[in-house]
Amino acid sequence: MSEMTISKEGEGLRISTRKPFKLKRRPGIKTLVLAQDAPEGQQMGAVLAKSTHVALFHGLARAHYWQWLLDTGEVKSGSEIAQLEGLDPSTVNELLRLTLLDPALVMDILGGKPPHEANMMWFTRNALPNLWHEQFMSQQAA
Amino acid sequence: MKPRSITPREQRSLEKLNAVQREVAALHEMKMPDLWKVWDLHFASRPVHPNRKYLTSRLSYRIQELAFGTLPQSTRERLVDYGQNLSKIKTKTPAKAVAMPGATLVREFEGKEFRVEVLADGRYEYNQKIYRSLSAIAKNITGTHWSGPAFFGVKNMVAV
Repeated sequence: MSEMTISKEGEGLRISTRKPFKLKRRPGIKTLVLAQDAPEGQQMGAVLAKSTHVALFHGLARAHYWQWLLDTGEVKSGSEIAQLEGLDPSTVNELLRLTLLDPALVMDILGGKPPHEANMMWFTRNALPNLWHEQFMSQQAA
Repeated sequence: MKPRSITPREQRSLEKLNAVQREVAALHEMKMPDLWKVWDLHFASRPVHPNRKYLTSRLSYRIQELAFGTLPQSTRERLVDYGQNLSKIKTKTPAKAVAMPGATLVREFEGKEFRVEVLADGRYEYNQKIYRSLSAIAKNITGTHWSGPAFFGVKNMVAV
């Protein structure tokens, strides 16, 4: 993974090594993960997959919060939420559909095992079937 | 009627699936006044901008909740908390979420790296064991008492 270069510099030799790495930022901590010995689950593909899960978590969380605001009467309508959040009403409605997801699938998503191809993009582009057993069944057929 | 805990998808009986399907299909046949009657049975208030699609989708969800169980209350509350952290709309009750499930908290201590995974149920996994609090993990690592959120740098932090 690392590459070494030797170059002449004045009288002596200069040896430099290059190592691919990735900086992971977290509040108060900065971790350096070396590419070659990155633990499983931290490799690029997995990191990417994880970030799409995160988008889905965030979507679910916002949807449930908004639904809670509606249920408790804190806000009156989806369009009021859109106005307060500075979002398009259609974005709010798309996200609110996530509250109609089969709770078993929600638990799978929260457990890091989302149904195949279930990501934020899918939810913003497809209407979720009302029947739970039809949710993500059409996916498998496709 | 109170919804039960979730029946896993593969354990739902065909009988129940058919019954639910019939009930949901019936909603689509109903005229609006009848649909409102069913709505009022299940929900305390009516939406401000009602439309048929919204009513049937929420009622279908409710019917299935009663048949197959619902999201655990604690999970729902946590999702609401996370959502509040992500939202511009703030309410009187502040959210208490620490980190989103699936997040890995990384802490270096005495030259070693410790990784803690946040689980869906709000607990934490460290070293293949499940803990209820970050403080317990911090104690395990350091041998002395630490505030878990402070140790992992997630104190007063907005969920990531």
